[in-house]
Amino acid sequence: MPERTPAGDRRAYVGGLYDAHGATLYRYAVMLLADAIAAEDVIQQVFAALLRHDVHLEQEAHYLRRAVRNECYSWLRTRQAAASVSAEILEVIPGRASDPDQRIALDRAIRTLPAEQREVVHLHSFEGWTFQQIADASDTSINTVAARYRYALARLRQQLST
Amino acid sequence: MTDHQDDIEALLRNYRPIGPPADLKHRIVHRGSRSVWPWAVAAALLLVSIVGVQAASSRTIERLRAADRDAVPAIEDLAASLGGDDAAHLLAATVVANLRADAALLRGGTDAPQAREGVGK
Repeated sequence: MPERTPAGDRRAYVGGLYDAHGATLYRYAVMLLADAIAAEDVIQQVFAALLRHDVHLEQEAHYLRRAVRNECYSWLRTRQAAASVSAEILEVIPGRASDPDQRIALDRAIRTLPAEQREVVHLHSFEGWTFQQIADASDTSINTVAARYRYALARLRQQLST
Repeated sequence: MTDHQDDIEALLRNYRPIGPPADLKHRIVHRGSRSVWPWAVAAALLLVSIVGVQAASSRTIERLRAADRDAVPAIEDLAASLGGDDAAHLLAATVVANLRADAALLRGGTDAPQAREGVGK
């Protein structure tokens, strides 16, 4: 039977994973869920599971992204009706043009998108992924990803023009 | 890609989803250690409460038995039928004392206890 890693070492390992990936994954979850509180829950669940199960990841970025994605879609399937809409989900990137009204309008417009479209917008616009990378990560075709992106931008434009 | 899309993309480039709260890492990493001590405190408080209730129950039972030695067989029988533990003895002693007090009052006798006994008195 393999020896369990001491609790202190596991905490250090998971803490290191959080330092490397936590903020990126949290932003991803916020966008996917359109709910900052739910994103906290998801991130806590994923990292707490690593603490409990005493695992060392080979492809940690890939594994964590997949785990957070699965948790987010699971949350959306079961608890969508209870989603909080009070907390904002967007912030201005430091050094960029800042317009509070515009941020609020974009925040609201993004919430109206389906989760799949929010995910594509996030990965392409905020994280710089290619459509092919998004297709590979989400087990869909590149045409589907491109269509989701196109529909998302059209809907955002429509929402922001009203 | 159309000009309209470029406009929206340019707009999106000024923003990003909010980042995690500063204490999220601490809550994740110290989740296990933090969740242990409240349970230990709760368990200790529960143990103290149980010991206290048992001590009070024993005192009450002894007081009821001392007040009326004739009632002891009835108390023991009733306690046995209720499970035989301390709680059963306390309940049986209280019930028997109250029944005897009621019976004495109905008879109009002077041997009635001063007051009905209540659980935990």
